[in-house]
Amino acid sequence: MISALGPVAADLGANRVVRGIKIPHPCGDPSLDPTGDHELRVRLVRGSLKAIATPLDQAALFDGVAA
Amino acid sequence: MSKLELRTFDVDSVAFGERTALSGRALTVSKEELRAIVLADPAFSAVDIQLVRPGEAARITQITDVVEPRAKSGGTGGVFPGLLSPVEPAGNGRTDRLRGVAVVTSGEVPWLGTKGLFVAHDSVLDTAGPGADLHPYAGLHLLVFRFSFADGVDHEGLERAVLLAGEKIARTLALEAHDSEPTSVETRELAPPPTPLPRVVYAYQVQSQGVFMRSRLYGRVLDELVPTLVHPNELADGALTSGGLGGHGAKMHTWMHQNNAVVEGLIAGHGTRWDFAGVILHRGHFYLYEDKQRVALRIAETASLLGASGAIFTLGGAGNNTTEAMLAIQECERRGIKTVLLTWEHAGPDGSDYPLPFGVAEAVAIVSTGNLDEPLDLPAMDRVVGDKAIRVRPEIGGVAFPVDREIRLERRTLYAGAANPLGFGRTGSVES
Repeated sequence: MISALGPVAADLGANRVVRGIKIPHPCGDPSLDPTGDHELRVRLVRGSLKAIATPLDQAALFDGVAA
Repeated sequence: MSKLELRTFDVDSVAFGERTALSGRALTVSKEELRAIVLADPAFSAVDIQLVRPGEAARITQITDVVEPRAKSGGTGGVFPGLLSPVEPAGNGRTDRLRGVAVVTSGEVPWLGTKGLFVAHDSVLDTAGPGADLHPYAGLHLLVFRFSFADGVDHEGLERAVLLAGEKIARTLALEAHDSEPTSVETRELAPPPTPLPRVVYAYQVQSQGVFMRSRLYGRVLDELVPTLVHPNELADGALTSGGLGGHGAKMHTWMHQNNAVVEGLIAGHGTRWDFAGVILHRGHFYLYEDKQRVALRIAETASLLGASGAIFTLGGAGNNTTEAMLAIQECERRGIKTVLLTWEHAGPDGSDYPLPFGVAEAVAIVSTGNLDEPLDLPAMDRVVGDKAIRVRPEIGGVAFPVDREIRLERRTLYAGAANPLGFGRTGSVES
């Protein structure tokens, strides 16, 4: 789950929580220009794919943008 | 330390007349005088003034703020510092208040192209029937000012104009008390108790997120507020105010800040049951988790520095800001500071849903002030003060909703004052 409120997502039972950008726009940043926003979104999707492919024993929080 | 002599003047009757004056407990109000005060501001093109007496069945529409008449009659500064008066120390000297009468500002705030959630929400308020239990104003004489707005003024200009108009009228009325005999006089100071008592702080969350849902401290907008400590006497003098626009049910009116029931309760028990250490003012609705944690840490650190062993929390707003309050409760409890939270619930129409959007295991003492999601069935009132229809569903551009009849509100956010968790009103919940 991509969420700007990681602990809330974990509270709801999500096993893989990917840290989103902000509450009103978890998957992008409208304050960036279109190119910057696109790059950020691509990084977030890649980070999320990496998270979903990571074997886990317990719930974990991922930094989707940094990944 | 702050020391305030608060003089209360009970008002039992209000009537319109030629000159504004207080005679005993009878207030006469000159429409012409007050109209001139309002229309001196070019943001207004017209104003209609109506009186709703206690016991009347009226439905007031499109309320923007409610203000209790107050004025300084001694000491430094003036009421509503930073807006109506210069920024000077508030909460000292002598303040006069008229109890039993309130100034209500209202009007159809133009949407000016705004849409979705961030618009000037319309709402209604009933002075009789089941709706009268949801707010603290039903027993008061309500002087309702309905503004028409001049063209060409933006929302920032309108917000300031409406807020100032309410404050000017409130001060004008209270100044009439100066030479009268008060009903009661109370000296308020947080003097150290003769024998040590548990220190208690009040963590007061306000909502400030844009021009339609705003709070101000000494005139300053609180959208980026880092938690700060204030003296309850500053609240008594109107250092904390609401914003001038918007009528969402979660909006706390200036009247609620002036008369906050939690503050009043803590003052009443100060020195005998506890040692009231002050009010930690904060806001929620931050968009980053780090911002929310910062709020929590500042509240807990301030409470620790004050030597508090207890903290009372109230929510401001509806939803997102639960996170800040809960994280602060967690941090306080970890430091050994016992907490109590007063909050409404988002428990679904029948009250069976999970009641809060976020919670922590440390929040073990929660007082419910009612379910915000429960539909509200309201009978027709004898009279509508304002427009006979309000604008609902801003997310689809607005739909006219007639209110001059029996109505059902699916959401209580359409009812002014319904979502205040301050202990006003007579709602709660029953475990079943």
